[in-house]
Amino acid sequence: MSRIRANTATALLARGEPMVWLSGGGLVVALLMVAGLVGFVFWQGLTTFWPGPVLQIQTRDGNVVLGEVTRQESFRPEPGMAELQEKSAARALKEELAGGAGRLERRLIRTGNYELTGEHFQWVEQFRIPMGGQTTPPWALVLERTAWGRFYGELVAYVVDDSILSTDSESAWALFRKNHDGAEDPLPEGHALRLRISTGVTHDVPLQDIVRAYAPNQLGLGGKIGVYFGRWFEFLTAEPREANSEGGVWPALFGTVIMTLGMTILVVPFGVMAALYLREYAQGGLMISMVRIAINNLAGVPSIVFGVFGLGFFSYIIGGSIDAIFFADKLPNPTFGTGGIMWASLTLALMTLPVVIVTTEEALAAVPNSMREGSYACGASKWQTIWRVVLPRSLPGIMTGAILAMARGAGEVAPLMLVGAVKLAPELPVDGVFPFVHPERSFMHLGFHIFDLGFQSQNSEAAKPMVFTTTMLLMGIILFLNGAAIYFRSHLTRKFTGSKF
Amino acid sequence: MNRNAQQSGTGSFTGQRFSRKPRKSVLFTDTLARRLITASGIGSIIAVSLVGLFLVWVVLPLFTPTGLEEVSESVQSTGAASADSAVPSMVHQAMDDYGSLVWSLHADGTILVHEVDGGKLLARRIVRPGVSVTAVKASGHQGRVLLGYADGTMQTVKVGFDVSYHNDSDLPDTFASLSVGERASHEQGLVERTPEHQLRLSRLTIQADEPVSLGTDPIVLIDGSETSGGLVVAALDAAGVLFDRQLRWRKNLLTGELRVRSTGSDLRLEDLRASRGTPVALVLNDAGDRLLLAEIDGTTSVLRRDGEGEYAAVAAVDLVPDPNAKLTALAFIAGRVSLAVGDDQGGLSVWFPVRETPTSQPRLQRVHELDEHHGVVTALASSGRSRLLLAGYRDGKIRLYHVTSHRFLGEADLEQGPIVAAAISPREDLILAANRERNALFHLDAPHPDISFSALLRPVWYEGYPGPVYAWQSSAATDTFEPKLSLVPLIYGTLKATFYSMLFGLPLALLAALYTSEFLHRRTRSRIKPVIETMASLPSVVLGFLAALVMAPFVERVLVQVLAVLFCAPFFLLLGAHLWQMLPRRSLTRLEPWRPLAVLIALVAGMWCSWQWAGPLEQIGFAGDVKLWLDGQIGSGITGWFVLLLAPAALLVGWWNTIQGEVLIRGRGPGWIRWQLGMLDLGRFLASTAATIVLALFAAWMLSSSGWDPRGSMMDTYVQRNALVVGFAMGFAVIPIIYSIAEDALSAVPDHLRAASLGAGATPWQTAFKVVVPPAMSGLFSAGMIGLGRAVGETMIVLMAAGNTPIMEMNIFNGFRTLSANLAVELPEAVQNSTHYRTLFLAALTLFIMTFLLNTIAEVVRQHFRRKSSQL
Repeated sequence: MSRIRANTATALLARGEPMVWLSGGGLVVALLMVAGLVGFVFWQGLTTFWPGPVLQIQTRDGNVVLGEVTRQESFRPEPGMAELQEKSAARALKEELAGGAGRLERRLIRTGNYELTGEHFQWVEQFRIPMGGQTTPPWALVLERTAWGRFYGELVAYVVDDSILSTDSESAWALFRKNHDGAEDPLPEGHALRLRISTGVTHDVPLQDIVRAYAPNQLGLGGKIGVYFGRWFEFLTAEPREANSEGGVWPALFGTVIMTLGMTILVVPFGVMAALYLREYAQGGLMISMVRIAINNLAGVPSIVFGVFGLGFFSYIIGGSIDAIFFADKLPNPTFGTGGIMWASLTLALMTLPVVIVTTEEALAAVPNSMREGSYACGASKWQTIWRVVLPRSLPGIMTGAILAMARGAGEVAPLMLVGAVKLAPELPVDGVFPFVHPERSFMHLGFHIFDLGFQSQNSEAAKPMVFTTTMLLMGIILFLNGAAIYFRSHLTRKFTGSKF
Repeated sequence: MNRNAQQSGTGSFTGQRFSRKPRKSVLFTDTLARRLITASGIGSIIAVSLVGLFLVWVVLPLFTPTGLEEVSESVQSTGAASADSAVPSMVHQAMDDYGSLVWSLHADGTILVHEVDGGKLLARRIVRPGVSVTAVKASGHQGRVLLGYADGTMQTVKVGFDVSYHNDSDLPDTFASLSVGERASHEQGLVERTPEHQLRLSRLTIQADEPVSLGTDPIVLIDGSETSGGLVVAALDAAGVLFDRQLRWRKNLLTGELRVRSTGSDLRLEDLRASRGTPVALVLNDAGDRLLLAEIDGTTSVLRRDGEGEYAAVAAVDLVPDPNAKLTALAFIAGRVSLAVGDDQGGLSVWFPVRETPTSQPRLQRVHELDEHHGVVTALASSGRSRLLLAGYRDGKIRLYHVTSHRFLGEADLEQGPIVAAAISPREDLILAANRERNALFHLDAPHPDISFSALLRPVWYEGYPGPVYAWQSSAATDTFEPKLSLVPLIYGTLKATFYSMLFGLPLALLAALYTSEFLHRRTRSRIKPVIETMASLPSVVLGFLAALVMAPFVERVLVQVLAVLFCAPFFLLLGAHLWQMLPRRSLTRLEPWRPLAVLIALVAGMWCSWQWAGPLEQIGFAGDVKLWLDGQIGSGITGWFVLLLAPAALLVGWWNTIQGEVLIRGRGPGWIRWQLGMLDLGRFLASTAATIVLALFAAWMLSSSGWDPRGSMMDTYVQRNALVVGFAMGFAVIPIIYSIAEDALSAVPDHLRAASLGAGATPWQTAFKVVVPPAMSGLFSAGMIGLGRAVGETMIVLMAAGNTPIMEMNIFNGFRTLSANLAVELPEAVQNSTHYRTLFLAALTLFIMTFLLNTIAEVVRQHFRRKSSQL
């Protein structure tokens, strides 16, 4: 091997700058991925409830479209698209094509009025719109209804039982405010808003069908904020409507919380006791270290496998036995012999048990032996030592484990699909009906809600705002729990280690 | 000890006396706590390990041997040798859904009804007394009987079971005392107490249509097939005339009577086929469009029958290729597509029509070879709902097979005489086998006959397929559908998902971990690490949803850009590095903490450029439309090879650079100043890039011009939800795990090693790569293993973003179905304890074992690493 004299050249090569940059690139990409994902979800989630303007677009061929812009994209037109257009549109199309490198702009307009038009959305290409073809009519209303989705139209009159109470928009709006927003439940029957839809026809929408109405083109900032928070309030507290694509997620939120709580109540005591047994009571040896490896490994077993176990063992075998003994009269309809919130909690408890055992054991191991010895020297029994000395010291670690388990449990969906999460469960697992807690009921879950909205929904475009807000809610809960775990781990540990002697 | 305690107790320094004995309550709590903790601790550990055991417990019955045991008291007289000597030999028998009644068809057209248990004769019916029966056929599993007579007429009979439920008051009092499951005969039928405490009355209904006149000679062979256009019947008489009839039933509106109308033609057999032998068997397939006429030596003419009743010979096959063997049994199995053939040498095979190419005519082929040399096959019976095939032999043995899986399930022996007819009950729990002496009843316990290791893991030739395949298809709309339960496509999908996600995630995570632990300031590191670890807690349903509904449509639109970024980003990173190192040394040291920002700028520049260049690239490389190109419609494969070969070429050039190129720069060492060397290095880098491109292009051109096209294997038709998207989305799941463990491993390398290396004059990169990484290697390995385990078991992302079609394609632009996604999709619908259910549990067990093994390897390696690093 020849000797290499150190000089500027070798120094340059030895820096290995390209490799450092590649590894830095890895880090930056990873960080960008996190930031991009979280940012995207929160941006979409936070903006989706903001009321946008209602546009009235008159295209070159005389069609009128009334609605809100959902999104905008550029697309590559089919060859021969220009030939199909009338003259002025074709010219605009060609100009745009030439300017935009072969691509055209188009906007997806939410037009609503599903019972009249048969569609919720409509694409409008930019070249179809002539100069001045786009207006924002001041009395264009957005109605959120209990059925059929949104309704867009210009307010014409306020109608009570076919007699017109008010013919100008302003007073009709005032009447609506008085009778809808200001009225007690139930809403007055026979009252309706008469709206002119984009085709020029008028249509009456009964007040009872209206959840919320607003005129976005007139709303000031305060009004928009009002609508925005009103929607958030409804989202968090109301039941879902329209195959889950409208309304709220209260049952799913409630189901998630109850299921996670049930799981935590089950997993923490047993996990802590198993860890105490392993760390404080069991005699060390090959057996125990093998158990430890096995438990470590079980933490890495896929969640769906626990779901399979939960379905086969809890629902079918244990639940089936309970049914055969106590609910034989209802058979063959299962009571406990199918998915339910109790089985879901148990399954997730089993799944998170290894996590809790491992973190608790680590926390117990971190308590210095000198403290135990000191306690024994003072005459304390083993249990007294554990209860008064070891457990308080390891509490932050145990809390961290419990919170991590909660975060994992709350975000897990795959096993729940097998053991009881459903698309729609109007009956909550805890309610005012005797016996108040119904462990056999199936439940809704935020994660499953996302899956269902994104994949099973017929009108996935209309469901998108709900998916993003639900996703944001779930991510918010989980990030909060993880933040709490990180806080506990760093702050409380520091507090306790300060008093080490 | 005891004395010491007493001494110290009495001689207290303060004079106060302390009790040396602990209080009872303390002792009690201590014992209680110990017992409770031990019990719940062990209990929890057992509960967790129960998971694996339970899976095994559910899966095991799939592989238990079949039980076939004779129920001794169920003997019934059957044929000529018995006291009931008026009844000639049985040709067919069938049981009802409950396994309580059996009807048998005899050679003279007599139909007998017996009780299954005990064999009591309940009813006897001769359909057309006085005319001698010359051909008998019970066709299919719907109870259709066809009779041909000596006077050249034929008759169809429908045999069915009439089941009605009654309360105790409806039937005579004698049945009131029946307990659940008990049976008693009543008016040629059978009454049974159901678990719901009703009385179920099962009776046989025999509905004979009026005879249809065909010709004048005796009918010798007859068969019929129910089709959508009515019952198609083919009959052959002694004079060699083939009668084709299509029967339709009309209800007379006045009398409510069913009348049969027949249409059809009469054909001369010798006009239709080349062979002149005497047919011994005649069968019609399910659609009624193929007629098979078999001769004793196995020579079989296949006639095609079109909708108008015109026949044409399409092929001749030899069902018994062995020249010494004679055809002795021929029968359709469920669905009337597959034909079971038995010969007198013991050969037993199953044939069905196979289309070699999608457009070619189907040809009858010997697909399953079930048995060799167990004697003369005398009777064949199949189950109405699955591919169970029962063969009866001349020496009185019966053997049960599952056709598709080639599994031999069991055998039994009736000892005397040849088996004449056998039946499998509709629920597949009973078997009846008759010889001339008696009819013996067997209990059959074969819950999962179609599962074996070879069926799960080897290609299987299913009916209607051109050859053996790996297929997963668990359910379909039709009754005769056969579930296809091969785990291979699912395992393939799992490995594909794992491979692509690791290809993306593993290098990224390891590089990120290296940079974090070696090149970041301690304070920055403690902030960055939790951020990436947060990514681990992102619910996978969120990742799946974003992958499927946001990323997949996006990537589809910007596919060229995405492909370009894969190469532009590293190029711009390296370019940035070469520019960066040209900075003066002093500013380099000052700017060190800002390097990640510079990296970010380089990455953004790479992305910007690939967006800019995408249009021209698509024009040049993919003939203007990448999706059509991938579909193989336009362009040549050269770009595909180029994309695939670029990375290997870059590695090759890089490797050459480290051994040869560096010498070039080192040689210039003295006398050159820093920026000049930097320029030289930059030049070298640009030259290497050019060399890489030229090399890849050349190799691509070579491969492409020798006729190989990468489209069709590595890349093919674009599907929106594909492995590329899944790989990227799974990156979110595996990167934080690998990163976290790898970073821990790197940070665990003691600082004195770094200090020594830096002190000896090594640069930070040399320290990181040559001093820190080697001892941390096992930790990095275990990080990879644990990431692999996570990727294998990930469910929601693949469920939502992988399209879920169980296909086996390497194509990165196509979807797949993994074991885990399959569980999530199918388990909720699987019937408990069915074959499907247990196979799904087997899939779960496979996942469990795979991850358990990966994690154990990782754990063992990590402990080894801990021991080693503690010695450093």
